[in-house]
Amino acid sequence: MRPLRRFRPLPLAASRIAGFWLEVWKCWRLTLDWTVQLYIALPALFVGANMYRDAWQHPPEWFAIVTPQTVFALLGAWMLRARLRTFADPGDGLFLRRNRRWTTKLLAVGFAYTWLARLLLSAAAAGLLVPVLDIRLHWTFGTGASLVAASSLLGYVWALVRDRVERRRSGWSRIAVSWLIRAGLMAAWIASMTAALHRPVLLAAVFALLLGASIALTWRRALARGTFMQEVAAEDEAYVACVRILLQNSVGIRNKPAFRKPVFSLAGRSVFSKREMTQRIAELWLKAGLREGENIRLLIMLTLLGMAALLLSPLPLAAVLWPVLGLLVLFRLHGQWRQWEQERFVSMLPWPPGAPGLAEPLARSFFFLPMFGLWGLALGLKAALMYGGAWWIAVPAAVAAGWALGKLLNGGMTAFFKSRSRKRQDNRERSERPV
Amino acid sequence: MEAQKPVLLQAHIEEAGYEPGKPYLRDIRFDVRSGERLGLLGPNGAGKSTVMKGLLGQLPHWKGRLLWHGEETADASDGELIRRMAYIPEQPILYDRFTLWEHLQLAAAAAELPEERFALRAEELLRRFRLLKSKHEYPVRFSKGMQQKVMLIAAFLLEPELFLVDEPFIGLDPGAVMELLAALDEERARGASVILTTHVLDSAERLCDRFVLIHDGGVAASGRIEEIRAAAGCPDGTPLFDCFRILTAEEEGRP
Repeated sequence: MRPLRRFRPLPLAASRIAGFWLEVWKCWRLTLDWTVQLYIALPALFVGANMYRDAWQHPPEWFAIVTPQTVFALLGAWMLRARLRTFADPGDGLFLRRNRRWTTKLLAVGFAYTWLARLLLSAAAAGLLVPVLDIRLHWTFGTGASLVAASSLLGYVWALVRDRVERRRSGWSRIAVSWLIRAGLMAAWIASMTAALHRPVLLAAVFALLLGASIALTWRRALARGTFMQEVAAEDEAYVACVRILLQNSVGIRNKPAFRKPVFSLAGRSVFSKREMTQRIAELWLKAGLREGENIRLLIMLTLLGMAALLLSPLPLAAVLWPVLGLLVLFRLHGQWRQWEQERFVSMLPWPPGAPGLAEPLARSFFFLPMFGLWGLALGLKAALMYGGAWWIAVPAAVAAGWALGKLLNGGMTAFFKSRSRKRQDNRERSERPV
Repeated sequence: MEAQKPVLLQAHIEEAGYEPGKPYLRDIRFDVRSGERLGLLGPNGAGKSTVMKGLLGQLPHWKGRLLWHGEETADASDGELIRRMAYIPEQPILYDRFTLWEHLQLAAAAAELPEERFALRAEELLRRFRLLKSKHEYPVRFSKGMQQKVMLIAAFLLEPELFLVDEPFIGLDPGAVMELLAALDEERARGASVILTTHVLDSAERLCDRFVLIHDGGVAASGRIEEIRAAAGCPDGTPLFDCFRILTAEEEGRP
């Protein structure tokens, strides 16, 4: 008997791809309600489209500093974010993975999807860069098209390399090897494309190399065994990457990947030598925070963005901006703490009144003070580089002041959060009281 | 002899449920004595787990009285009362960023257990439930039975006066059930009481001192096994399983 249409590999893969994007869209729809669409998304689109048109009509001055290497680097960085997609589902482990014919076909769809997605994304990026490519670099359509095709192959090769690295390595080594290969590929990509620009024979050689690598890696990947867990983890990560901003403050849209060993674990190690209840709880929160890859990524990003903002602002403005940025981070860390307190396991425990909130300032300071100190370092360096001489004393002074000011801000925010929570509690009790 | 033990908890749930005006439980009364094991029995959906949630103060709608050592408590969610109980849910509740040891550390910190005492007790419990080797692993990756053991160990660690155990035997291997029963015996010797819900009536009959048979949100019968037999009109020696069948069939109007 002929099986039902949707229970054949290709329609199943197609329905999974559609299902994935539908799920991502549903998540985004929670944020993009009509008010956001009307007041933020549409005006942003309108402004963006006008800026794009203006760039065509009146090329801005910064076009002059754009080189072909800038374009190669931008496209390369965009492509080196790829991961191999197979749309594997944890439930496949039950029966489907035992059927090699099904697995092969699903994997073939995954390969095709991965490359096509790279091609589309590369074309979209090149489309956005058209004013630069045309007005500044005077590239023809053919040059642009060959760049798009080559970069899509680079993305595909990277996706397969990344898959192999992630299957074979874990923890620090996985991250280090991935970034090393990324850097190597990026350097090779920029060098080879620079050499091949306006030289058809060399360009053909680059294509042949990328195509050869793609075929060889595809063949090896198709024959690889024991890849199921990696595929499921990659799918979870792809989903998280699509809804990352939404997941920051919401629990349970879909479980975050639990297959990977955390990079920072500190399991079985004590962070604080003093072992009162406050230190014990703060230590556990800290460990949980360090094990969450998304949290670490966000903190690093915030630190770097804050440093950039301080370095690029005029010195008096930067001095004002510094504590403001600190307050924003403290608000975020407080939100994270509250979210942790609401975790089912944490909230089901018989806490004494007021605890575990007592541990919050200590726990918060662990992430906050180093970040705030680094911003102080950036500010001190900026002052020293601007004025030189005795101003170099500003570097250690800003770090020391950062530590003290950070502690002050943390303490002040603790008092503020406490009074706010007390007020909320009073309001709640008042509203629950019978009239 | 048993009657001489002091009453630990007296509960009278007048009505309780998930929405006001739609009570799920009605007029349920029972008491638990120190060191006693009380079995809350009943068919699926009878309201056993809801009674537990009511005792823990987790029900949005609750009207009733709780007397702890004869003294009335403010309500079911009274902070002090909660700290005297340990709840072991039917479905293990775990935090995916904590190792097994850290789950226990947090539970001990919540119970204000000094660290040295915690370490000794936790090691002993982990050894007893054969989880010592896995103490620095993540329980979210454990099997269901192992996860249930984590919940049991966390509860035993707290040394509460009253254990609320929801379906304790689901997912546990025979060795773990034996260890659970032995650990509960030790807790009984300490004076701790247990309220447990279960569908495994044979085990309940051997394990519990008294029973409350919940049916359709109310009490169908309660007391010692002899009293349950009398309520069901069964002769001496009739297993609890048959009494249960007769009592629930009567309630449903079946012969």
